[in-house]
Amino acid sequence: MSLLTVEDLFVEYRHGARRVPAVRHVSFSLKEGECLGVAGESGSGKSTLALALLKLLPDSASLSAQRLDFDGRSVLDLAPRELRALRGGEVGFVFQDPFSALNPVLTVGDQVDEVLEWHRGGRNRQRVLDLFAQVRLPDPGDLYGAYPHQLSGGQRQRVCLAMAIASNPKLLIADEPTTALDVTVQREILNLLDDLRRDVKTQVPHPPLRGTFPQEGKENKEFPSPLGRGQGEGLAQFRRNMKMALILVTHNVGLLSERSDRLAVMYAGEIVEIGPTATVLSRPAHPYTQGLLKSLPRLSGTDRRLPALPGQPPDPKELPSGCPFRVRCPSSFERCVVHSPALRPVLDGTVQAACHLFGDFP
Amino acid sequence: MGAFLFRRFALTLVTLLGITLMTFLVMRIAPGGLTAGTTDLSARVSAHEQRKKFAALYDLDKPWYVQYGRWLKRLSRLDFGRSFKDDRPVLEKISERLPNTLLLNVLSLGLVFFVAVPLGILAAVKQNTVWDRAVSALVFIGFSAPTFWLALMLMMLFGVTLGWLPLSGLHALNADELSATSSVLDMARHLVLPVLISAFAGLAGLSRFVRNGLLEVVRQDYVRTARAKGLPESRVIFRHALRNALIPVVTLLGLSLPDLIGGGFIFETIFAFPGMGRLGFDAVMARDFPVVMGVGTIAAFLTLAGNLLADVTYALVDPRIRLAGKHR
Amino acid sequence: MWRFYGRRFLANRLALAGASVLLFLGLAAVGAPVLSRTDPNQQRLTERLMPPSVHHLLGTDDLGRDVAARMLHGGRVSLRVGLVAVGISVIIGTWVGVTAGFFGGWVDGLLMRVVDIMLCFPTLFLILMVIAFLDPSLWTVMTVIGMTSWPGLARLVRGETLSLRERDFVWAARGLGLSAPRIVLVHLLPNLVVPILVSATLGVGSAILTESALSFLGLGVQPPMASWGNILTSGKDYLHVAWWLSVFPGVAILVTVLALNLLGEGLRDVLDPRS
Repeated sequence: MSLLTVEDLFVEYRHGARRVPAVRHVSFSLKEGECLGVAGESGSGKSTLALALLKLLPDSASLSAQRLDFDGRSVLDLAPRELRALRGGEVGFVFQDPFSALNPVLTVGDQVDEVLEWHRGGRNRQRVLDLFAQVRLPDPGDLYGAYPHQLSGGQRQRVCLAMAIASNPKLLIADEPTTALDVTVQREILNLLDDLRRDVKTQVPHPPLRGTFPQEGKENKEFPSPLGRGQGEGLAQFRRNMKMALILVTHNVGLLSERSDRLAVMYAGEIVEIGPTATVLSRPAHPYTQGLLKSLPRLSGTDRRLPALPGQPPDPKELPSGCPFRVRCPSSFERCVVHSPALRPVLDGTVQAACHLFGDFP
Repeated sequence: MGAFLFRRFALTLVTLLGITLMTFLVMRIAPGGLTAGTTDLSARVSAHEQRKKFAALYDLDKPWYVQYGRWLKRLSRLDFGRSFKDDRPVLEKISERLPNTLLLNVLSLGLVFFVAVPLGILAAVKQNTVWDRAVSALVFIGFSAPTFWLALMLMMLFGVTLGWLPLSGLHALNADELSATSSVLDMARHLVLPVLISAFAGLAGLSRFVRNGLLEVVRQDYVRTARAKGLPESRVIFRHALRNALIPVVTLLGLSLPDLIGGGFIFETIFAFPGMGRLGFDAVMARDFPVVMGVGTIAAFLTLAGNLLADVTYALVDPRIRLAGKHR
Repeated sequence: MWRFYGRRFLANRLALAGASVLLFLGLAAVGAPVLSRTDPNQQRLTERLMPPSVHHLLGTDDLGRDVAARMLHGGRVSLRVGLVAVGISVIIGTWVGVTAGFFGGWVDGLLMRVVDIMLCFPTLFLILMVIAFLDPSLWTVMTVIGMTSWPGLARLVRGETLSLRERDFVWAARGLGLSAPRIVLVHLLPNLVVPILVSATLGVGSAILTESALSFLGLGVQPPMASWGNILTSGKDYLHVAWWLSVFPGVAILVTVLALNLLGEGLRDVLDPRS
């Protein structure tokens, strides 16, 4: 069952009298409990896309979409109150920079408690401390009254995570959650994300259809519901625990290899390739994905120099005609100049790519 | 926070010394010197007598640094000497006026704060609407209008044309005969115009400051975080944005003190308000040096104290300073 | 580049309005002797406190002098005081600010303490204290206002200098072994022009306000020379009978200072590379 469905999403920023597109023609869907990795260079529109899903864009942006459905409801048509119930309630959000994402004049405990106050019926100090323990913050008891500036970057990002999962959301959107952190801390945070996805028990009303999940085996291990959290709530026998879905936005494809179920690669505001992570990484179809993967450092590699992708991403104010990647593409041909390629199934059909190389046109 | 406050305090002491030195020098450099004497006919003591007295009081036969040292020593005992005009101790003259000036300033600071902050919020939240423009217009007029002229206009409107409010002073002529309640009421009526006028310019500055500060804060990441938590906009503004935007306001209130006190010199004169500004102005006109020096020093001290108070408050409100160095 | 700024300026309606008003006022001030044949100082005791009429467009004052003529000549005084005082203040403020920011260390510490001390005194009282010992005249007023209004500008210039000092091009100039005055003149000052110009425009406005306040108190421009401030002084005593004496000069000050403030803010918006 699809948790999130996006069809033909557009975001434009106003720069004076001009409108600059940041996200164009983006369509994808996310199943319950699934993890989608979104990768791309800076400026590819991936962060804008993440913000657009909850309508968190600044006033200078305008958003439109054929469909933007979350859990059967159209996000674009929600009343402000319903939208607020979604934000922080059913969907958690973690931002890139933990140094600026927390309010400097409020204690971290207070900021987490605020989520419980609005989405879980009231403040609950004990639950905040549990959350702190869950995100593996040391000495949770002392932390409640601490201010953000007293914590390290990694600790702050853990607080942000605690805030995002406080109301057991169905979906967590993490926008480059490790970019601002030290390399050693990055891995810890990513592992924590994995664990949280397993531990945060989202209550969904109906059991999903068998066979729709790529990782059904894993799913079953956690069924039936473990003792403890969530037990004894009203219609518990009709509910089951689900993994939290995750959209993980990053510029580092390497981070996604072991973590995401599916992978979307963005270029110049468009998704150019999307498919199961393993397939995309082992047999990249789009020339851009191929270039991106070649430029990744490999542990097993020799001291061979990394072939960087030639050229720069295009200026969104002056996109080239046809395929936006053609200027940097090693295999572009005449058609690329004229027509903009649409996503189409390629290879075994599980992967979609937007490239004329896979076209069967006359 | 200890280190921060210590540094601030040390700086304040240096500035304090500087203030006394400057007051002293201004008096010294004055053409004709300190003994130029007074032309004020109302002086009870003759010019000659005065000069002699003054020469003795300020050790005019000694080098300037000795004079400064001795003056400073007397100053530390709050001894500002005696007025040329009526031979009363300067401190006594100032201390009977100071409460009135403080009352006026506290009232107008309060008015500034409670009107300017909501106006600034309104302008920021309704950015680029008619509300925002109205506040901007008010701001520009507040910056551009001469306060003494506004005072005249209000006096003309409320005092002359409408006759609602008294034109000058702090008490009615028959104040002694009034009951306690009506005496307070009488004083309040006398305070309305001076407080309004002295608040006006500060109002413009502060509401603009609050507006720009809030607009800046609203762009911060943590405000986006608050929205991502699903908080209603009112809570985002009042709990998350405003707290951060108001911290610098504390400092601004401290910095606006000299303008308030300085403004006092002119509109206390217009309203014949028995405050320190009026005392200072009259002393300047009468060349009553001990009083001029006393008022100048006290005004600067007050400003300095206000700034220090603002810094301490700032440190208390902002956890980044209050808990500086206390890392986990 | 100048065409770019020109276009941005023309697009800023408020700044344009301010500039137009100032142009008009400037022309009126320069052409005052030609525009008005009436002697601003001629007393006609038979025509005291006459309300505005065809003969006296803005009425007459307590000595029967024509207010319109006095306003016109008072405008010359106000603009002159504003410009000269700000000139003095800009020279001192820039010098102090650049010196403090560029050399840093104890020079900076000392100069900034002086600025702090100056800012602690209510400016108006500082001016009163000084003026009380000097003979009040147009030149005294201009000099004293200029000498007391530089600390704010010095602080601003110091801040800008500090940030410029760390920029690459200044480091490069130092690396080339250029002398300090040369670096300041060639590399720093051109970059300081915009903030100084903006602050000076606003400064003219506040100097005009200060002058009118001083004249109002009788310590500024001395009668019989006309100034917007001292016309108001006579108005103060005739609030009941002659509203025109206190309304017109006040409006003139308000409009002039408002125009300067609009122009100053407009210049900031137009010239600020960040906007």
